[in-house]
Amino acid sequence: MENSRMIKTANGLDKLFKILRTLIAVALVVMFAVLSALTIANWVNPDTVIGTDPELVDIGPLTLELAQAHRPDNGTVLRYAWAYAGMGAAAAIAMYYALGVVRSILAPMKQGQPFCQSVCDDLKKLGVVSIVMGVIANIGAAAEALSLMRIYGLVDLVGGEVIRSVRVNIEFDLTFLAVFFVLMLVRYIFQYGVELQHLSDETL
Amino acid sequence: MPIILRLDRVMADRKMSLNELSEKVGVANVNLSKLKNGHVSAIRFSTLEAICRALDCQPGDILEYQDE
Repeated sequence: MENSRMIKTANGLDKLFKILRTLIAVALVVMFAVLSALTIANWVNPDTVIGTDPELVDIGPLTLELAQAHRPDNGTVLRYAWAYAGMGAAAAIAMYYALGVVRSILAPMKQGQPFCQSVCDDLKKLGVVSIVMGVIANIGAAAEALSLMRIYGLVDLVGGEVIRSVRVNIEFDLTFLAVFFVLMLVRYIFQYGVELQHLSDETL
Repeated sequence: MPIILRLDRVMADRKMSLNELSEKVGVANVNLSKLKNGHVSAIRFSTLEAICRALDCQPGDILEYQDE
């Protein structure tokens, strides 16, 4: 029966998402533990060198044109690592929450009953999460550029001996809007399914 | 709803209990009870056919239209 295939797929996906959520949680804890240890010890790889030859270096949304190799000090590298870790953590937490919502969508499907009001509500939640994640990602990219400029003190270095020019590459990605509308469309289909299921349940 | 089920009346005429009808029709007595009390919004032809066969009656004996 088609229903049994759905139950099997939902069970498989649920297990996969459960593992993914655990991995995200473990990765977050490990990342912050390692970063904290590095910060306390004030240690970074002593060979950290940006641009061994004069070249263009991409750091996040910034493209630096270096005139010579640059060896950033420990503090700069650690601040940069913490800024990246913070953004990564925000994305990971949003992903963790989104996977939780997807798992709750899969729960009624595991019972062989996909058309539930809770699925419609969760699809709406997922749509809102996609909007929030998209906005955060776009704001994050701009914030990353600004924070990098502050961390490296690029404004002072531009025109100096190390950096010839800085180019900030910020693009506003609207993919999240498409994801939101597709999710809302799926939600309306499920809403109609709930109504049909209700009629079917009341038919003897 | 203006359609009323008269299952209890026909069952009383035939002196048939809900459990007995449930066994003959193959529908759980909980569901038959819902049907008897008018707590369903639709009935399949196959269910109606099984009930009519078990009670030896016509669909019109079970279903009744009442103007609201």
